[in-house]
Amino acid sequence: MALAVKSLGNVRIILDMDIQHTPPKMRLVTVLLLLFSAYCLLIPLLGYFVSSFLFLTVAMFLVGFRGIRLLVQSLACTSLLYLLFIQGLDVWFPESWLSSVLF
Amino acid sequence: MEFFIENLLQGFDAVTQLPVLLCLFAGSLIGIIVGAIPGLGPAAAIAVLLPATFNMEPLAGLSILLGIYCGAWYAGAIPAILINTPGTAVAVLSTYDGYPMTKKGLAKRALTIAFTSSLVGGLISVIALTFSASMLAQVAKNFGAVEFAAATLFGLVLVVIAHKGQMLAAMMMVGIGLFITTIGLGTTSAVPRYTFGVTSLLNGIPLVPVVLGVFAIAQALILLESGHSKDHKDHDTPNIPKPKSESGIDWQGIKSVFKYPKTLLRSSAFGVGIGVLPGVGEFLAQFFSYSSARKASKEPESFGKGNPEGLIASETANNAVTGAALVPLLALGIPGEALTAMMMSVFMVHNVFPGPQLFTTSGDLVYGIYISMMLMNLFIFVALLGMSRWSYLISRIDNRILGILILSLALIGTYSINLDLANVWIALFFGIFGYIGRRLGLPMVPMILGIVLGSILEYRLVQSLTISDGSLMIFLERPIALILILITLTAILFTLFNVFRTKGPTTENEADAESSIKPAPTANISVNKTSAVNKETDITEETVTNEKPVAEATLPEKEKAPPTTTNH
Repeated sequence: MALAVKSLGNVRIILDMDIQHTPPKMRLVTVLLLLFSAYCLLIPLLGYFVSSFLFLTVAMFLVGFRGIRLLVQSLACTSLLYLLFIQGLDVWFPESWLSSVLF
Repeated sequence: MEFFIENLLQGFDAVTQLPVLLCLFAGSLIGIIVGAIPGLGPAAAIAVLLPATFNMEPLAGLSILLGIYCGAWYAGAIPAILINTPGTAVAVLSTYDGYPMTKKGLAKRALTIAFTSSLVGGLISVIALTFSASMLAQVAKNFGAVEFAAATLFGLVLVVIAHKGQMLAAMMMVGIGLFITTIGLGTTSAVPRYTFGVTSLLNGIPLVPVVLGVFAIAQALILLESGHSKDHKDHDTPNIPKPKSESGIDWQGIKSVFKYPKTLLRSSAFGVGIGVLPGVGEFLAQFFSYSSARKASKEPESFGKGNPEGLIASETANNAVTGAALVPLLALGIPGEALTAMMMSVFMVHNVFPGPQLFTTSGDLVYGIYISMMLMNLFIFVALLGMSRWSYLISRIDNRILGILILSLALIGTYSINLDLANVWIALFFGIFGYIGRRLGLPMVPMILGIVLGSILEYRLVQSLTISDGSLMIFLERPIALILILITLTAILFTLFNVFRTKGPTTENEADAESSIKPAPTANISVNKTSAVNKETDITEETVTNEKPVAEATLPEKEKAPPTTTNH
């Protein structure tokens, strides 16, 4: 036991989390976090599909995608999420304000 | 023995249900993919998928999570070998000998060797789990609340001690975790604690949003910062043989692994032995295994220059941890690390409580887990051998899309636990917390363990004190509890003694804290200068002498390594 504790003393353990190489980009992170909060707030208003699409499009724009690739990618990702969770796993969302106005 | 075989057959029955098998394969494939992507690890994947597994059968859900866990450890070697960037942090030592082999044009051989030795480590680990978990459960059968409380306390102390060099930070994070568990209605008193009148907090802070915040959201932010890692391309391609010429299975490579039976056994023993201890982790197992293989080898100077034995030692050890890490969870109900802590919540959702009684009440589940792990090791091995031609493609996936997808998955994942957006805000809070913590180099795993172990500890402590009418003396009156408490005290005293003896009174402690804040390089095996003073035990001397050459040998490579994230 004592040996085990002692031997631990000689190794600096790298645990999963504590290795960082990339320089921080605080502005990008702040904007993304605000965007994420907006996403969360928009769901009751616009519904899951529309707000996810908006979130993905804006987020992908922020990290540097442009043009037709941006739209195709975000639409594909939104559909994937929608099919997987709403259709596949039956996650229920309360009726959104948007759909109550439209339908 | 008959009982044992009967149980195994039952477990086999449970696993060979179609949904379970599908989950097992899907989990393994996801694990392979996340493991092979540098900067993404099993923790983020398990956190994201955790809510989805709550609706499944326990064995199916656990098979997915275990598949991710095991698959990632295998696949972490792929980028380690091909582009000198470990896919998961535990594959760090595989870069030492794996990448030089690639440079010599032996990429396929290196991959085959890595997968085969991983398979050996994984299988030995499952076998060890099968025997030691039920043995430990037999012992733990006589455990009451008092003993469990003492064992949990020991686990918490070990978690802190294991974070050598960051012990104060780890202690702080455990403390934060323990504090978080006290939020909500008290276990027995039903008095609201720290809720400030917020109704959503009455149930306490659930683990899943915390885990999703700390592992998924924070990880996604870091991935998004890193952008698309284009620097890989000009780094590796000239030396990797054209993938097209590499069809077929390299039987020679598989065979060559078994030329080193001693290394295989020793590395597996390190992996299993260290894996059982809570909070200690794969890296230490790998490190011990690598340095002892090097020591025992006839040609130690070739280690770090493409010696297959080094690769075998490193890969066997990190996969041997996987099964062993489940031992404390299954036998005592005390998870030893973040990933098994997440798996514990799958048990809890289904009202199955891990611990000694699990072996009698749901033996088919326990043996199902064994069989499932056995099968997934074989499946991952076959899948990887089949895919090794394309495996280099996986590490080329665009980080930015991954990051954004993880963010949206985190939202729907936390929402789907109980269809409450309040959980998403908790996840967001812990996402910010986790991001800042990582940028400061704080270890996050102790906090998760603090949350999980804290609730166990509180529950068991209240039970013990009810038995004893509020007297703490009960911990000294029960023999097993007394032994556990004494071991805990010895561990604490010994660590304190070491700290004061070797580190000096004040200044070096601060230097230590500072160095832990700086981002640690990937292949950082810091040579503990001060430990040279300490020459009382053989192990100390061994590790000191072994550390230096390893660290030096890899210095030039470290500089060349592309700056990518290697965390989970």
